[in-house]
This record gives sequence, structure tokens and C-alpha cells, in this order.
Amino acid sequence: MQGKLARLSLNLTAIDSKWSSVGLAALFLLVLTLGLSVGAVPLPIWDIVTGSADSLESTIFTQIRAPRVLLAAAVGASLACAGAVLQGLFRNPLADPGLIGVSGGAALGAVAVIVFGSWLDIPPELAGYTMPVAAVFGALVVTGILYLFASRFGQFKIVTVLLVGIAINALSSVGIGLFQYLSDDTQLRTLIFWMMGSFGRAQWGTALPCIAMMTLATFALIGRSGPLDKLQLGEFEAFHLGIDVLSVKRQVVLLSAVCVGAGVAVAGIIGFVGLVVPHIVRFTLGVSHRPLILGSALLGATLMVSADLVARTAVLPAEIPVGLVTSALGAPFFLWLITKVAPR
Amino acid sequence: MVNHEGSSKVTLAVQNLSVKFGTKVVLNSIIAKIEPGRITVLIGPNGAGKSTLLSGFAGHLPDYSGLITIDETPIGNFTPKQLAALRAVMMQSDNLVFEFSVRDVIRMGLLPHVTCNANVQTEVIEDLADRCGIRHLLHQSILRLSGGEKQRVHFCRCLIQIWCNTGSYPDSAQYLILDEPTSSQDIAGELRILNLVKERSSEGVGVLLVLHDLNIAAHFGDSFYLLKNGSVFAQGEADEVLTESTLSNVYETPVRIETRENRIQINTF
Repeated sequence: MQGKLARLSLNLTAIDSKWSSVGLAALFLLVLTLGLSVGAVPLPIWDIVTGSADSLESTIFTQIRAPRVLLAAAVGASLACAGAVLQGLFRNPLADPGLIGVSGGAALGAVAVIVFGSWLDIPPELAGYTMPVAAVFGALVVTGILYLFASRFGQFKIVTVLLVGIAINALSSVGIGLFQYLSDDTQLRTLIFWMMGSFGRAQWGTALPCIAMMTLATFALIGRSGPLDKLQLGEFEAFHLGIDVLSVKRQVVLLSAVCVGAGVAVAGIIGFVGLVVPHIVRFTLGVSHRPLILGSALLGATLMVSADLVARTAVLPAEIPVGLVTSALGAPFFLWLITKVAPR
Repeated sequence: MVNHEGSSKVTLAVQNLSVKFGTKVVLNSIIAKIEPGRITVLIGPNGAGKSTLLSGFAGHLPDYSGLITIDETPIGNFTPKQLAALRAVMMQSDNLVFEFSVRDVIRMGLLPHVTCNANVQTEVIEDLADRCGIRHLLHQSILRLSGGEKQRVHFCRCLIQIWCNTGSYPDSAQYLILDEPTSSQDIAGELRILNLVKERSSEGVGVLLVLHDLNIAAHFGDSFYLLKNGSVFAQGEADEVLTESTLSNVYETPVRIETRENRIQINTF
């Protein structure tokens, strides 16, 4: 079975890895333009760029459409990158921030801020950062626990990581449930809207800090691609090849937690992007981490902007949660993947 | 680059190395060394501590007492990068789960600060892959290879690692540390690998091998450490270590040794 996967991916890699990356970039630009112009109010992008659009259209573009689409792109890119590097770190093709509990941990952190945030005395200029920072912290704790478990039970058994993820997901839903119980009516409303996962409330004030965090973390992860490749041989082997394994692991855990945490803080839990995207990129660009992370960023952004486009235009004037769209696409893919990589 | 006078200073050595896993003593005050230009072979029954001692030489023992030194400098004073330029290690595990091509895997042996340029690298890779018998596999996925082929790929990666770093530390020798490098090989593959090892050693590389086949060990080894229950039971050249009484004692099996045309043959039946 794995042989079949191998043949498919290597044939594609040999033929057109250069054209694939050009294609990915072109596809992203196309979808980005589409995402910016299509919506409840269609916007003539060209007129807005040249300044000949009317003021209502310009306002909708700069205040509503642009932050929403850019945020979707950033979240998609960073979730896909996090998925790619977590799969690499755990040497586990089934690792996904949602499945292994990292998103759950981030959600718990974010919910804690929604419920208890008013107790903290945070200056307004830093308020945009509280939720992302708390979510990053939650994601960090979970990734750390996962890593400890995984290395304790030997060489990252595929099943171990998933089982620990199930346990952690259960624990964080207990925590979230508890916070819901403790919250008052206004908080509960905020909390439930947030949990549904949407880019609908994107504003520059909340979006920019997260976009900044995610972009920085993504670029930093690209910088770790060489060590991540060598880590695939095993930790001792990577050390023999001159990698400071402990520090690389810490950096990757931290950076992927930033990617997931910032994404969850701003858009709720959006599943399967981190699982599906890296696998598609491996088919087309190969498994080396540099093209893998870059390609995942592009395709993740493309996929999320498209999913958000579907979410906000399919049942106008209402919206479906974007997480529903990605899960509808991702869950069947996950099932297919299990048949390919599950132990025979 | 290599000190051919055999000065005892230029070696990879362990002194009084002891290792415990929990309460179990795995290695007990081991004194051993790998010398440039020689093939040192670790032999001994299963569980004698060969792989643990090899980990000590490789520098990845998490917890030990005693000293591990390269040219009398404690191994902990070297950064992973410096160590990588001085020695290549081949373990028995195979952890790859993604579809890296054989060429990708071999290229991982190239370190970021390699001393040879890109054209030379490609040439060296193709040449060494050819000599390891895997050149025709360079474009294939590593996951599709047989166990023996994978083993030769990792062996080739180790050769590349020391080959392309010759000159990074001109004052120090380089070392090749291999844990049962021929365990999955047929007779031809075994000979191929050990001849390449012999060649590197004759160029001044210090080699440490863990081997189970005593006849192969006797043929290729220059010096031997025979381990039993975490201690060195016997050490020295073939005629001092590979004797009927010593081997029979350590392996708890009657062993007969015949010498024919200057070559010893070790039999258990």
C-alpha cells in the first residue's frame, strides 16, 4: 500500500516539482482575488485598486473583506505549516493539530481569557495579544505533554500520539465545559460564537497581532527545515549528523504552538487543514521540509480562503461555520489516509 | 591529517566507562579505544553491552560515569556539529516514514559546513553509491527498498559524511562507528561493505564495528574487545582474543578453531 503512495508521489515529483510550486502560487493568487471580490456584496477589485470605486465599496473592502480574507489566508497557512512540522517532529503522517489535541489546548487557553480576561488588568494596546498568547500557551502545554509521552513510549508509535491526543482533547473539553459553566451570559454568548469557528468577526485590531505572530512563526519554521529533514532518520541519527536535537525540538514545538495558538485564538478550532494540506504537498513537491513547509503555507492559505468563500456565500445571507467546510473535506481524506498508513 | 606514528594521544577512547539502566549494570568500568587506521571490533554474546559501548563512542549516551575523550578532550566539550565532522555513526534502527528518495537520504550525510563543492558532492555521491551497489536506486523511495538495500543506503550516507568533511579538523583523525553494518546483507553485500570499511581504515580512518560473525570479524578486524556481561573479558589482536577456551567460555558453547593457510576458522560444530 505504501509502495503505491511512493510511486505516485515520486513520479509526480520527478516530472514537475518546479511547475507545481509555480502552480500553487498562481492558484493562491487566483483564489485570493476571488475571495476579495466575491461575497454578499460583489466588489470590483480593479476599480478599488485604481481608486475609482465608490466609497461604500472601498469601505467594505478595507474594513470587512480584506481583513477577513487575509486572516483566513494566514490561519490556513499557519495551520498547514503546523501540521507539516508536527508530522515531521512526531514522524507520524497522521499528526494534525486538531486530532492530537494541540488545537484543543489552544482553545482552552483562549476560553480561559474570554471568561477570566476581565479579571486581568491588561492595557488596551496589548489587549489584542491576550487571547493569542493564552492560546499559544495552551497549545504549548499540549505539544510538550504529547512530546514527553511520545518519547517515553519509545520511537513515536503512530497510535500512541493519536491516543494521547484523544485523551488531551477529552481533557480540554472538560476544561472548556467547566469554563462555560462558570461564565456569565455575555461571556457565554462570546464563547459559543467563538467556538463555532469563523472569520466573520475579523477586524484589523484583532487580526493584525495574530497575522504577525503566524507569519513570523511560519518563516522561523522554514528556517528549521534542514534539521527537520535529518530528524526523520531518528533522533540519535540527527545528533550524529550534527543537529542539536533538543534545541531543535524545543524550537519546533514552540513555533508550531504559536502557529496553532494564534490561529485558534482568532478563528476557533478549524480541523483537518493541518492534516490534508501537507499530504497533498508531499505528493507534488516531495517530502523535504523546505518545499514542504513553503508549499503547505501556500496551499493552506488557498484552501482556507476557498473554504471561507464557500462558508460565507453558500447559504446567503447566512453563513456556515468554516470549520464545517474543512472537516467535510478533511474527514473522508483522513479515513482514506488511515487505510494507507495504518499498520498492516 | 592523520598521525601515522600511532601516538596514543590521537584516539577516541573511553576510560572507566560505566552505565546503569535503573539498577542493572550494563557496562562496568570499560577501558577501550578506537585508533586511526585500525579496525576495532566489538564482539560478545547478545546483551553483553556492545551496542551501549558503541553509543558511548558515538557520544549519545544520556547518562554514564567515566570519561569519553577524543584526543584527550572530553566528548561533552564538542558541539554536535564538531562531532559530526569527526565521526559518522550507523545504527541498526530505521525510522524513516516519509518518501525520501535514496539520493535525499544520502545527501543528509552532507553537513552544512562541508568542505567539498556541489559538483564534487554529486560526483562523490554517485561514485560511492556505485560502490555500495545502490546507484541504480538513487531515484527510488527509501521505503520501497529491501532491508539490505536500506542498510547500504545508510552505510553510504555515513561514508559521505566523513568523506566530505576531510579537512574540517586537519589535526584530528576521523572515525566510522558501525553497529552490525552487515546484519541484513547477503554474502556479496557483506563483502562490499567491509571492503569499503577496510579501504577507509587504510586511509587513516579509525573504525569501530560491532559484528556477530566471528570469522568475518577475524578476517577484517585489527584489534578486538570481547565483552561479557558488561565487562571486557578479553582484548587485543586476533590470536589473543579469538581462542578456543576464551570463546567457549564467553559464548557458553563449545568452539573449535582451525588455522588454514594463516587464516583462522571458528566453528561451533
